[in-house]
Amino acid sequence: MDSIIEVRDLVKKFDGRAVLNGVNVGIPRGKITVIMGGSGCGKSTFLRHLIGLHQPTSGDILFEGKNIAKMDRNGMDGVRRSFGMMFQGSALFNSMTVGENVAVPLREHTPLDESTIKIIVKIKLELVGLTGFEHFYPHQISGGMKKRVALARAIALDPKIVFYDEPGAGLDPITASMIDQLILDLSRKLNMTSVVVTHEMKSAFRIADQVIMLHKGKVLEVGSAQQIQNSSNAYVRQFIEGEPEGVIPFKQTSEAYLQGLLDS
Amino acid sequence: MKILNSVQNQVQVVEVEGDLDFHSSPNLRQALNQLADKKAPKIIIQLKKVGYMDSSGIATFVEALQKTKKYQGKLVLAEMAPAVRSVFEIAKLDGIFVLSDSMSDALQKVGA
Repeated sequence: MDSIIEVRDLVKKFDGRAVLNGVNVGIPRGKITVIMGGSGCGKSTFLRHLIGLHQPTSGDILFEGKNIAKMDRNGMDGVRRSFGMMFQGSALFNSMTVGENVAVPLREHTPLDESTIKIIVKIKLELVGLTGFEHFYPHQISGGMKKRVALARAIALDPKIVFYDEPGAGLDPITASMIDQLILDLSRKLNMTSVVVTHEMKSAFRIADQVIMLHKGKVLEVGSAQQIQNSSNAYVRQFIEGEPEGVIPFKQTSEAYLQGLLDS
Repeated sequence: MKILNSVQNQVQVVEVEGDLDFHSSPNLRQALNQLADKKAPKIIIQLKKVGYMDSSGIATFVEALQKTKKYQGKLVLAEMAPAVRSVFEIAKLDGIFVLSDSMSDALQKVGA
């Protein structure tokens, strides 16, 4: 497998508590990888490490062979140009039009002339199905369209890899599945690597070439969507079926409660 | 990236060599703007030696096409590698450009 990112023995501790506790996994080039897991499993922390927003306590993150875990700010700035990011709440600038939002990374990170930028913006908006909306403001468009704008902005610099944080959050099921379809289409068409963090099972199985299941800061299972769906692991099964009771406890143990009281 | 200008059969031939990306595209834009400013009637851009092109490359060609159309100039893109051609197809722009697989065909299409 040709991995665009290779994660080795990744550990992240906050105040001595390990949120990621020895993660070893590869992100295959040109494929869609979905990172799944329950709330607090470490998936958002893991994503922040992949894009270089967090420094690990220990371990390595190799992007095309370069260790971004040990990179200085200048080195990281260079690497980030290969990354596109679609944030959970779209994170558009409300005071800017759709077109201006898509133009932001082009204006910030390239020496391109304004007329060239305007043409690129039109091309990117067409790719996400928003031709003709460049003069609209975010408050004038729907939630699904905002996600499309966020996606157009994420691909503005022709990234090698796009990270999506909960792309379907806050959308109705039909719009969410349209966003999934767009992620699929663009990944194939532009031959991009995609890394999607989600806890929505339907969405994950619809788009994933590879699923990474995280639990308590460790990789519980890695496999194709079908392999994960057919997993016999009790944690994975409980997660897929969404049962409140199972091997993942519904409540914290009373020891944890008492310890918490005594420590405070 | 290198840009070589020559004249063949009264046609301006712009030969591009190297990657056409966010950093090199402004140089090509400048070279094409100079030709458009003097209203060069026939331009062929030879892309045989371009292995990689990103969105800025395609935007540069769109701008050159807009400018040459204004004075009824002719612009042909010649000898694109498949990877470069696919960028035009993805952006659905292969239909608005005159594309050519060989220089002899390009010269014919530009009306040399």
